[in-house]
Amino acid sequence: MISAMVLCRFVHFTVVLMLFGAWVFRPLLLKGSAEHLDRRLTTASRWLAAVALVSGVAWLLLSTASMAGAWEAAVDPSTLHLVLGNTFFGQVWRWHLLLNALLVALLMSPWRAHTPLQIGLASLLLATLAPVGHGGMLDGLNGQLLILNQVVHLSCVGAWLGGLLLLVMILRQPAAQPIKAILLRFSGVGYALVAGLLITGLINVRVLTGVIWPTPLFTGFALILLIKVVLIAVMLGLALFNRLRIDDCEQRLATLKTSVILEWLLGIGAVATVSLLGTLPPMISS
Amino acid sequence: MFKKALVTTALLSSLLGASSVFAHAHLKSQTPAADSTVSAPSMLRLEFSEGVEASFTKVMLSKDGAAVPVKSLTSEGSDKKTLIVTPAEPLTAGTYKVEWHAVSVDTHKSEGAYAFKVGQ
Repeated sequence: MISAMVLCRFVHFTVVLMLFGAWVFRPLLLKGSAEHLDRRLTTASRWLAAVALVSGVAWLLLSTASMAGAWEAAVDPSTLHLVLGNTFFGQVWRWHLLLNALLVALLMSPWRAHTPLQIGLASLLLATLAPVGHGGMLDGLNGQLLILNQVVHLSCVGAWLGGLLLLVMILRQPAAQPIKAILLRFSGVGYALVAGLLITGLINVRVLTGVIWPTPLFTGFALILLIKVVLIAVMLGLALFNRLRIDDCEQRLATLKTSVILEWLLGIGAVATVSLLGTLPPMISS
Repeated sequence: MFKKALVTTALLSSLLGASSVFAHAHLKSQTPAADSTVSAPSMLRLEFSEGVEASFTKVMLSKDGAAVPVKSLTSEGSDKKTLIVTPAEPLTAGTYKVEWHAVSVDTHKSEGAYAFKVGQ
């Protein structure tokens, strides 16, 4: 049950982050219309939104089964009702699922290319991910600040990963667009995103563990956190590598494409570690 | 290649997840206190380190091995960290064991047990 939960969290977080980021970066990276790319982005978004809805519902069912301590509870209407109505998770999740369903409906409707609607719904979907997991650990003002911190963290992560996804899509049809200008725009926003996610990430670690860095280093929460940070460090290395060599980027498109894909995959790996972190106890048990 | 990587990452993460230990909400204090001898209390008060879901948290009370029926288990007002357990009938003298299985507000589970004595 726990492995299924981790997998479910991973899939759900990944697709919601991608959706949010790709839409946020679309108007930033490409000025005006890019018909071919937009068509592919719409197709990709539909899939992402559908996978998000399925994994979101699965998450609810698994959480219900886990809380009740029995598999049958996942399909028992009265238990589901109890979860959605009476638990903190359920109260957040019913809105989250509603937003997700609206997003799927939007993508099937004639307004599917309406950027403000897309970004608005995707932002709300992302924001309602923040309170679940350790975000909900503290109560009162501190709890609210921790959730707010998590919203900022998820926004930065989502924009970065979704932006990379969009960049991969653009690099697969490089002829249509001036690559260097796009890279420069990505990189400009990228600095702010990386700064944002590092700061909010450190705040999270500090608040959840009570220390700057949890110890012992190679067990449980601290180990997974370490893996995550290493993945992010490699991503930053790749980003820096591409930034320093931007002048001849159009001569080495193949390398550029590979490194962007690699950076994106590392990002997904980092999300996988987060899915695990969310289920591990951060505090040294007292 | 991408698909493979995704599947591998997912599988690896689920493996790691399966072997992890869960210890989220723990019991910070309780009334009557653990291992104390008290005069019959009308209710038990369990205070956790973080909020717990009263709908999914179970508290089992037993006296000398026999289960003692519990009338209600609720949060104390809006404070989800504190659970109030009311026995169906006044507790008589004897040694009581309290076993709790908590579901915290971040949906994680934890459990524990303690005992106390009701004097004559």
